[in-house]
Amino acid sequence: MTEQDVFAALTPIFRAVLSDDAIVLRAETTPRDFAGWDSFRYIEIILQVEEALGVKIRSKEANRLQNVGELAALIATKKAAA
Amino acid sequence: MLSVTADPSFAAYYQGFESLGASCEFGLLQRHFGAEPLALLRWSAIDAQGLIHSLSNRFADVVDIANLSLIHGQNDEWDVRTPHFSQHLYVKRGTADAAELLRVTHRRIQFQRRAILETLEEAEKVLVYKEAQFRMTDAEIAQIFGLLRGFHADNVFLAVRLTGTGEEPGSVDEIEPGLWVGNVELDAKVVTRDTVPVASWHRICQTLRPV
Repeated sequence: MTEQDVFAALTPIFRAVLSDDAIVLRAETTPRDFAGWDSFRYIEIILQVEEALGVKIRSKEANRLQNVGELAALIATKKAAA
Repeated sequence: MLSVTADPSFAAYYQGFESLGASCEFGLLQRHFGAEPLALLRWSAIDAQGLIHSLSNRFADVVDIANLSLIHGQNDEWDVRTPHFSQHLYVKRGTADAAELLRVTHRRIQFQRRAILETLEEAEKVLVYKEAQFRMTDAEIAQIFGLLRGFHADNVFLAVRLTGTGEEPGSVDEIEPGLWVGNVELDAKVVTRDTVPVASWHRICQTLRPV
């Protein structure tokens, strides 16, 4: 699974959790780019990522991520190691 | 009260602390500096005995959704109540289906339970508990510290008290290796982002873990 594949999978998750069908994810996208972002929604995104992509993300890993590109890279690394 | 500039370079620094309650105060301090950890007890109300129970059974009470219920919180918002703590949901009553909100909340709390157990077992963060309405006893502090050390022998515990007679706000002492007791003042009945005594907290944290 490439990072591009991951981006394609992440987009509907972000749109659903943040209730915004206009969201377009880029590697440099950060939480500050989303209205209504908070830690509860972030957890919901992580949970949906785990379910949809079959990866386990530790809270320590989630807390360190700075932007969507880092999330995609983490997922791609985990998928490659699986 | 917010006399210390919200320097964003401290965001990573404050990710190195984990709030264990008793209120949202430390979570608001973290937000002041741009840190938004995904911690179970960051937005929770939990007294010392509730924390002792929860640590003793590894927060097992939150696993069964039957132990969770929605209650009316402040500002016409929902809180979720568990056997030993409650958590603010920041959802206005009437804006969400209650059964669905409880299902989503239960699911999120399972992640947060997993997260706090990881934190306790990794011993990388300073674990912070500040008393709210009732004074923590020395025995409770010792019991909590013992339970935290049961998860990992290197866990560091910061217990924080409201200042009383002769205690200086922002002071902190290491009682024994890994156990610190600090003091902060409270000038308002309700802790909000504007009433958190940031300067005292910042001094305590930097004494305990210098930048």
